Amino acid sequence: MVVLEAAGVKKVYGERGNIHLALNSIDLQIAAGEFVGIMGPSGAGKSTLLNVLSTIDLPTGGYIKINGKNIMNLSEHELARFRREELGFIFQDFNLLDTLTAKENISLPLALSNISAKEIEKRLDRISKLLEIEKILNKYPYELSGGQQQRTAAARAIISNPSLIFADEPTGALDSKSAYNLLQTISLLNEKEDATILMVTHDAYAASFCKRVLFIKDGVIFTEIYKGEQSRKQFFQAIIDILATLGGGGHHDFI
Amino acid sequence: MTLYNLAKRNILRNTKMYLLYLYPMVFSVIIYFTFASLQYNKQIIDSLTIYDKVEPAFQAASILLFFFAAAFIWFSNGFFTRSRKKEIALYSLFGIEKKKIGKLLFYENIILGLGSLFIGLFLGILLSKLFAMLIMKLMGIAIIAKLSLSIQAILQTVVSFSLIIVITSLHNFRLIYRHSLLQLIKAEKKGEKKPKKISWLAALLSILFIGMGYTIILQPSDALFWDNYGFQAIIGSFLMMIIGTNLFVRAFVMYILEKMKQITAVYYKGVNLISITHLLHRIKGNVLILSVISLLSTFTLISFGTTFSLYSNIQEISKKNFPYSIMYTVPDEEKNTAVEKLIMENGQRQIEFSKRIEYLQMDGDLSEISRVPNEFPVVLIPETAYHFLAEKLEKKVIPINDGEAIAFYDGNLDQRTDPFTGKSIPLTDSQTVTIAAYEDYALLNLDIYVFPIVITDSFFQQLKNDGLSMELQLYSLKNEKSIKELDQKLMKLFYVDPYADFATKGEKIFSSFYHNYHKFIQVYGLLIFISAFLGFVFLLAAGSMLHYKLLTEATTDQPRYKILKKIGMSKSQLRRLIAKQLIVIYLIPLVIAISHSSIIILALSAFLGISMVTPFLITIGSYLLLYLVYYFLTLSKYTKIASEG
Repeated sequence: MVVLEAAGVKKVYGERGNIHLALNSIDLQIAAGEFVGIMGPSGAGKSTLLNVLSTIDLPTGGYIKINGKNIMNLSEHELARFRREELGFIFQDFNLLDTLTAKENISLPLALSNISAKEIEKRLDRISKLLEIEKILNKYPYELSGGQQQRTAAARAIISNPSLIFADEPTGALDSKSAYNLLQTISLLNEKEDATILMVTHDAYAASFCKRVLFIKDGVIFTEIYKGEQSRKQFFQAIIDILATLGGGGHHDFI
Repeated sequence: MTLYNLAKRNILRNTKMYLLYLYPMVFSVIIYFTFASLQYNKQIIDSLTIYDKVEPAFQAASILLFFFAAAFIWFSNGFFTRSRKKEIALYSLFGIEKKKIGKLLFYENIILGLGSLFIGLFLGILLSKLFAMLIMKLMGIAIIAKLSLSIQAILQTVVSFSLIIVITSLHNFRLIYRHSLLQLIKAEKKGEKKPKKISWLAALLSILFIGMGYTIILQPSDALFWDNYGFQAIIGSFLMMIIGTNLFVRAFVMYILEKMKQITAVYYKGVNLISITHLLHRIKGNVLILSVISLLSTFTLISFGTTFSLYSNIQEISKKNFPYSIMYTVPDEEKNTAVEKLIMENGQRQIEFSKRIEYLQMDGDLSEISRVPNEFPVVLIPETAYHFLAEKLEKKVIPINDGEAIAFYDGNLDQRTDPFTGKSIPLTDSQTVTIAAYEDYALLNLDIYVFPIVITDSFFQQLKNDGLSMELQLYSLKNEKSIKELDQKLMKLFYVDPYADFATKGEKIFSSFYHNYHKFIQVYGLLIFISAFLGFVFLLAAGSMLHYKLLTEATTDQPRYKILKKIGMSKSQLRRLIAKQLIVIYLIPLVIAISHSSIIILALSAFLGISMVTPFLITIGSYLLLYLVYYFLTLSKYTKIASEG
């Protein structure tokens, strides 16, 4: 089943005379249960693509369907609801509300959707066990380490059972050990919860946890590779090779 | 780049921030100057026959305004410098000496201060005319207010504000020395602290304090302790209310919110989750400001409600103190004919009744009756005359025996206490009269030399040889409120200058309702102006303090709202969230103020024996209206800032 379908997606910045084509006709399909990574050098359009796909920004041309629904036709109100119910987000800088405890942060999307307190408790219980964050539930974000905060954010992203989770450089602000733990967690969500995940990263190591990686450069999809039966190490090597041919951006993270 | 250029750039790019500081300063100057210029307005002073009576009120109000302006500017300055700490830290990082930065801040504040002083004076000059016209209208004086500049007012304003400006400038100069570089850089990034455990004890205490304050002040006015500890009781009651108010905001409101958090069905419903936690943080950071606003609003409601009640009760109060339109000791034949002629000119049909009564004037020893000046003569009224007057005033008569007397209400604020019964007045060496009863109404107009007591007819005859036997003429006129000319002519007839001295008047009685009624209108007109002015200023200042404080918080909260939008909060949910938070914050001081002032007005109204309900409700209504304007203004701006995030 196709969860996300994008065709001919364009994004143009600037006005006449000074146009910058950030995305140039992107076609993309993601099936349920996939774990897709998007890589590319700085300025390739990774973040623009994620913003457009995740309804935070509007494309200039083409269409995007999530679960068969064309998101370009939704009103502001419907969009907010759609985001709440169908999408989950994990951001580089966690984006947890510092006035709420971890538990409250995780429950927030459900509370906003007016789901009963009982149901919230139930789901919270399950998710926090899965992500091993039961012990930190009553703490405030500033009392938590980066890794704990990001796992809290991941719990918030998954709790509403979204059709699609967007992760924007989720390991960007983490040390390598926490990054590894988080990527394990995300993989776990993908495997155990059948969560469909789209992750943008410039880190080849992080990308190697995905099942499929798309490479974009100058606003177009340059190529894509599947992990298939390869080991993570082999897949990592394949990613590095492509990045080398991709060039351009110049800075990649190596291990 | 020179320091000057740097400062100039900063001002140009942050115009908005500087304006936010400039407004309160200009506002304070305008208010202060306007008030001072009214205080020194020659026209008002000249037209006020009762100026010396209201001067203390003017003085007190102007001192109050000064302190208020100082506090307001101090607050705005703190607010302003806080938002600039980062900029100051940058200067320091660029390698500018501390002394230079200090100087920069000092001069900047001086320039801003002087600028607002000039702008404020200019606008104040324009506005003061408007206010002068308003004040005269309220006082019932028909003079066209001329735009006359009071040098004294300008001087007083300049001196007062120079003081404030210099002090704040010095404070700013010290800013860079008071904080380390790190503190300055991190000024805005303080991060939210974990809310402290809220003690239920403090919450309970707040209710206890307020309740006790209310109970004390609501004690019936004949309660015994008022006589002995009246002043202490009132101060104590106010203190309890003040402490209770602070605790109420600090603990009680927070406690309720904490409790709401524990009701999961409520807490995890829609935007409640965020609004309750946000409120906890907002209120915690604003305890002082909310308490101050509560108390300022209380003060405003009480002072305006009281003066407004008195103003609208002038008719009643005047009638109570001056039951007869005209009352005078019958003079010699020639003068009396002239007076009667004047009254006839006013129209015979206007006369409701006229009565001539006999009375006896004696120089009794009033030392035991401490309420009346000793130089007052005792006015002895025979029982028959008393019966006639009591019937006209629709009062029941009290029987007395020889040697006994009835005393009457003498303008005492609390008319129900009886300060007379049991006391005796030696009239001559051998005759003494003892006051056996007290009536809570005025038998004769309350005026100079009028201290009437009623004695039996037989006792009256007995004393006749020892005192001065005289006659009192009383008139009740239908048009007593509009006999300006008659009043002036009578005044001229009875004495040249009615306010020159007691002595010139002789111990003859003359009293007119009209004269006193208009005196009341002048006094209360002026008082109502002062209290409305102060009330309006307080409301404006309190409202804008809260307004700006909340808006800055909205700016620092922008990232939070951004997150909320990303995880799927719709615009309407956001608006509801903000409206919910703000209404609670705005309601807290309002509820407290209305509750406090209602109780105090209730006590006051019982004490003064006049009804204050309607004027007070009107006061609350208009206050609510202005307050609502602030709420919606803040709401719309807050929502705009939040959705920009």
